[in-house]
Amino acid sequence: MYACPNCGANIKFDPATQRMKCEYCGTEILPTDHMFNRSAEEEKGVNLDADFSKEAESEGKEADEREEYEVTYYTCPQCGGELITEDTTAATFCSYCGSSNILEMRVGKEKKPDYIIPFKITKDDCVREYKKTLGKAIFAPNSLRNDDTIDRFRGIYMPYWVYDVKAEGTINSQGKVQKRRGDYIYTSHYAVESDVDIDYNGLSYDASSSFEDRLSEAIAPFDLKDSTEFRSSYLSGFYADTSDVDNSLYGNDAKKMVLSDAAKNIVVSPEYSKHGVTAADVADSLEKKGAKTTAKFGMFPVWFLSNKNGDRVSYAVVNGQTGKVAMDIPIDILKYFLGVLIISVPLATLLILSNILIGPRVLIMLTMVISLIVLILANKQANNLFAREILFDDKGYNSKRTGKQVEEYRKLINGNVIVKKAKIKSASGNSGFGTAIGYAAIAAVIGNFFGIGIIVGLVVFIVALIINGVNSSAGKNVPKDRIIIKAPTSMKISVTIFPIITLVVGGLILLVNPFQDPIYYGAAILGMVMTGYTVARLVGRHNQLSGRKLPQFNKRGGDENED
Amino acid sequence: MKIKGQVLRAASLIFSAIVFSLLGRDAFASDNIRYTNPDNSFIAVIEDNADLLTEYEEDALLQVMIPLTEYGSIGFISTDSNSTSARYYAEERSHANFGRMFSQSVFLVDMDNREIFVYSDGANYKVITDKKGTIITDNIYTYASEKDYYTCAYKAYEQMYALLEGRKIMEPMRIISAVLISVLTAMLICFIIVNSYAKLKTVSMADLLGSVDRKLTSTQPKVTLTKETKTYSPQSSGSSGGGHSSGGHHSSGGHSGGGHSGGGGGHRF
Repeated sequence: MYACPNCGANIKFDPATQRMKCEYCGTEILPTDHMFNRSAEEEKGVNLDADFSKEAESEGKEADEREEYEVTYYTCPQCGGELITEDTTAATFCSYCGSSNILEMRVGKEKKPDYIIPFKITKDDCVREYKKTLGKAIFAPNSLRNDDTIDRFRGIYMPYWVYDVKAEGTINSQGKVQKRRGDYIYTSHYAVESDVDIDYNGLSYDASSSFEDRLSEAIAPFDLKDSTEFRSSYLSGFYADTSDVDNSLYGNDAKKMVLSDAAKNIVVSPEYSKHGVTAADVADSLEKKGAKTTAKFGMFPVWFLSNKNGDRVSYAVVNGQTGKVAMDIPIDILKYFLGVLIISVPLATLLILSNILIGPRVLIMLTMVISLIVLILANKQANNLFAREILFDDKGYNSKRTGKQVEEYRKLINGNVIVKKAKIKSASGNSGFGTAIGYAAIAAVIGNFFGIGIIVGLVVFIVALIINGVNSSAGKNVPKDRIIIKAPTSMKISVTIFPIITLVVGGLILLVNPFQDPIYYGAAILGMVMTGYTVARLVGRHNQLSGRKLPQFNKRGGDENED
Repeated sequence: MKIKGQVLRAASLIFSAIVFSLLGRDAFASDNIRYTNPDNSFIAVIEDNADLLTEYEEDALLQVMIPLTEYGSIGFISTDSNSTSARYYAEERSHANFGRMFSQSVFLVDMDNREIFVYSDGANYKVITDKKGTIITDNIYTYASEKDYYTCAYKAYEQMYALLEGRKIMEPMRIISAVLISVLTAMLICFIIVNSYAKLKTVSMADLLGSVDRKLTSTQPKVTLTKETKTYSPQSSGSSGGGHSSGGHHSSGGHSGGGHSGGGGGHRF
């Protein structure tokens, strides 16, 4: 805690003025002032006398040279999440699991970051951005809008590894150009050589296993132009997360991204494209040449909010520099069904009053189309949920798994996560063929109403393939392995079984083509009820997706999870 | 309900027999029964080629059909030999009996195709549309399945008359279907809305690199031709060139005459 030189009250960093500000007397001081170079421990008991500045200056120089600085650690007894602060007031809730517990406090030393981006967005700005985002979420629960909830937004400096990637030297890329003359293909092989000097500075990746990668990625990027030399005074009034992820974890990702971007810029020269050298070829050459990656440690500002709901917790984060918001938005079931009612009443009235006749065959086809859409959504959602449950995308968290956790994780991903080498060099990673078949099937069923099902299906199939071809060609310079995550059957079956039954039964009835209407109506109504139930399940699963199981971090010493 | 229906049916048969004897009937064709409305010359015809109705039933049915002649000519047609579609046959017989230009409706029982069909043309078609024709046959096809052709036709004319009089006919399944489809569609729409705003946005590589301090220099590339190869690859001669397709003629069974339009709806039984 820093004391105000004027009144002795707690003085905190104010993002609006970018100064240290006393809440009581309004005194403002630059955070770089030498008086703040003292540690909190040392600050205690300092009298505001005429010699204060000199004393602080002499001690401050000493503090600047230290690799570590003294902090107060707050560890959640529930999840093991850890925060540090300069303040001495007890933290009453955990930002990671949402538990309202008095956090365990201890004083220790933390590695000093190389630089810090101070908070620029105030809590009021953060709340405004949060509410703006929430304004679009019409089915979000009211609890997310409660003042009590919003008040729990906490300013946290998140640890980040900031990578600099350098590569220089001569790169040699091979290209070939083919030309046909009569019955012969002539291939010219070229070597294209140039000297390159690549220097990218400031690619950042979060360095805390507690901060989910998907959230940190969603609020990226941070602009290092606002970064400054780290001073603990910036932490006053805020919290900071501790770094527990090794700096080598994202080095390769940073290098790949830099080399890929550099290669794209290098091949802008027509000499490359003219001689059949692609960005992928240049990226390969750069990779072979090697690049030097160095990491620095930074602290970046994030407004953080957690909402505990039973055994799950959802998050909202706001970039403390840019105001960019990323949040998990669950569904309020009541609001959802109210929305369904509001849409379905005019829709049903329109259908009843209109001249559209939904005969039994058409009804069964419509049911099948809806079931097919639900099946596709359910399948996709199950895969996403599986990836979410095992925190597949969270490289930081996974790097901290230990002992049994690693074994369990391996068992879970075994057979369910398939990495396919990029045959189609698609930026988006779409395979295309399967998607085209899916679209074609839907179009064929719809087209069948008008007696042109096969034609429409075929046309849509071709168009989908062409679109995918264009996408693939557009992204051909970004070879990317496709990671296919398939949820285990046990996870899928409960949400896919009913749409599948509807499709099978509907298909059989259309094939057999009985004349009795009750068969069509019965099957259609049953299909719709089953599909409706499935959609309700999907809504429930969305809420599972909008959060995670209460986390267990391995940050505290003697972790209980380690067997 | 069943007993009540049988009583009603018996009563209608007796009533029709009495009325019929009083009104009299025209017999233009050997088996066909005809009635001509003296006010507007619209006619009612029973052309029971498949011999599905008894004489009494025919007489009773005609009594049911007579009120419909206020709005146009009306026919009952049955056949057990039809090489075309039910719709085409109904249209053809309707025009043969009543001409092409007049208001008319026909109820067909096509034993060959096992289909009943309601066809209308002229002013009647504005009321008894394709959709209404389908709804009528949807409501009564079960009688045809049970070989109760009299009740089937009787119910058909009853609904046709209700429509011509501006009353509504029962469409319970249509309403249930519309409600169910609407609810399901609304559920999907809401789910898609949720997905549109609840998904975390991914940041593109360009955005990520936008805040990175980038320095890149590259000298003018030096190009060397390292080798040239030649591969034999005969060009395919499989292309047949631009042929033309003659295209088949698809007969929809609809009428080709201009100036009027007719149609209807049917149901297999």
